[in-house]
Amino acid sequence: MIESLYTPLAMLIFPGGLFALALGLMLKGLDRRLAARLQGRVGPPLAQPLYDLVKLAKKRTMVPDIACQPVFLGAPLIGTVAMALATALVPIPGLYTPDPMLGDLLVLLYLLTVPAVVLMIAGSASGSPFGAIGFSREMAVMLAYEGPLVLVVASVALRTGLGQGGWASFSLTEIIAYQQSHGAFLFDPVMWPALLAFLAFYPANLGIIPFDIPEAETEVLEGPLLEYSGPALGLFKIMSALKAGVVLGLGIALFFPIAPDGFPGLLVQVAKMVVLMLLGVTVLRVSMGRMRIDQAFYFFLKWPLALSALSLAIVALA
Amino acid sequence: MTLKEMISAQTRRMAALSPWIYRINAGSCNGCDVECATTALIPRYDVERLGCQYCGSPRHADIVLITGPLTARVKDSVLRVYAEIPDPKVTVAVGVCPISGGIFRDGYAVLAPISKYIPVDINVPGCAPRPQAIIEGIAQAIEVWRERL
Amino acid sequence: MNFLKNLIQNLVRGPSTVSYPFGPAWTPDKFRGRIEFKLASCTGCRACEQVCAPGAIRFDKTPDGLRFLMWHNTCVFCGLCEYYCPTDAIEQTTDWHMAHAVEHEFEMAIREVIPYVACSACNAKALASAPNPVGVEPPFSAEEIEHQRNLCPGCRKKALAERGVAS
Repeated sequence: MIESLYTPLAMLIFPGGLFALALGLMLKGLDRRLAARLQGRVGPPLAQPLYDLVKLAKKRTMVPDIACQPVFLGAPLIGTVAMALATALVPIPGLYTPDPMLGDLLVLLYLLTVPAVVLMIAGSASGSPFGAIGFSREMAVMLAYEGPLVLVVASVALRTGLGQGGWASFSLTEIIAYQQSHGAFLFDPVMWPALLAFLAFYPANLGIIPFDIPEAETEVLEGPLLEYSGPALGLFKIMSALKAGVVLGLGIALFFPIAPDGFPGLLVQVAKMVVLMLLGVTVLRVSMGRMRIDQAFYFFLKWPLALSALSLAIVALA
Repeated sequence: MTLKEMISAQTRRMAALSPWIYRINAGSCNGCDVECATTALIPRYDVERLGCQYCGSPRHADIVLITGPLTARVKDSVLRVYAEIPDPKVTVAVGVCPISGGIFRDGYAVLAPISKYIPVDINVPGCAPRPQAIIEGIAQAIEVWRERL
Repeated sequence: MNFLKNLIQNLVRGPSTVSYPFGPAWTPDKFRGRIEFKLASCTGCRACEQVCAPGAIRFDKTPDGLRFLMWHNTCVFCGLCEYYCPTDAIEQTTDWHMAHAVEHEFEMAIREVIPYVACSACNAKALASAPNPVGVEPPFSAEEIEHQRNLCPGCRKKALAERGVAS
């Protein structure tokens, strides 16, 4: 009885749902504030993403006449629910291991593709030509970065599995346990190409400059999100905040899950996420310009793919 | 105060801290548009301190900045884009052109004042108004918007 | 790698944002701002009305006198009126705090009337505009100027001729 209640609670309160939302909003607030300071401005208050969400809840959602209304309104809902489930799947080393009945690394990978697909569907369901452009660009970027991601995950899984004398293990719990006993993959030279590929992957997934082509404000008038307003747009913002938490948590679980047990483990996890966000996202965002879609596509097909394939080959052969 | 009133007051306070700005150029000479861009993009006159953010879509906007006298050619497009902006919203006329036609007053293609077609709330005179004057107008617009939430 | 240097400099030096609206704003001395009109110095020549670029200044003849009407919401702050006014009755201040709600749109105006008076010499209807005697030797004193104000144009000419050598 308690076990069957555990999963919904994990999805809604901790570590998913409310906690992940608060964490995601805090990360975004810190990112905006630091980005402003790096640009020599003052910047918004730290709770600004929360104010944005509250404001969006008070406006009204307008649906275009030519839009497909069920898909238009249902797409953000599906994305948010998928991300809420994904936050319950990401382990917090030392504190929380997800229920094995929910699924594991592969399910998490599938769930991570849902926000991108939802954005694409929203763009085409809105019926506007800018939405269609956003749809095609999002598809191109997603195709580009999914390859390196899968190869990175495969090389981590293979290393864990081979290190334990079996075949590849796609269980996050096992990966974390292996790293806690044999040293984190962050310090393992064999995994460094995979680490670089992951560092190139997650700005693209989060929609950060230099890879935020689908949602480019100045180029395609916000692409898929053009026709959204009010609570539907708020759901998209919630989805993006949850996704930030999931992707950062996944990165930490794959490469550096060394943490003390219990409550300090939670603090260490939050600290690692903040550092990863500020260094990997904010500094990148303020120092680079946006890449064109063909530049980003070929970039991902060249370097991250090559690096992650190299890592997989070395792990398989070693 | 009941719990519902307290929550409502708190959400209104929080929502008023995040007005998003959208700029409509209704046939302007671009002087006021440059000043509006300066207000948002240049670190010196950072408008993000007030929680504002320039959005690329009229559907996301709360405060509308209109520059330029309404020229006859662009009138239908402006009215159409203005109708896309969801309520509640506040309209700020930037520069003297929307208020009275400015330097283009009595021109044959100019349909100023814009308040004949669009309900304006705040006027910011100037040709072009200083970025500080635009920020002052936006601050007043935020006060008006707070009442409408 | 220049951007890294810029980022670190921005972090170290702090934000370069001016503190307005949470603090005072700096205005340059020669800033072209709101118009100020001094009724006592206006000669009623209407040069400002002629050169005003957007037509913000208007003079009307009312039963009470010559009315000066200027609407700030059409002024483009070009400064031509200040340049051409012979007596500096119109001057540009550095005030730019003019954002207002649309209800006060027509209150942002200057409405002043140069009154009609009875000429103190011949009792005709005269406009009490400021006299502007230029190139007169010796120059008019303040009391003489005030005396000339209440004279009709014919009596002003007579007073000037009686005063001394016409130069």
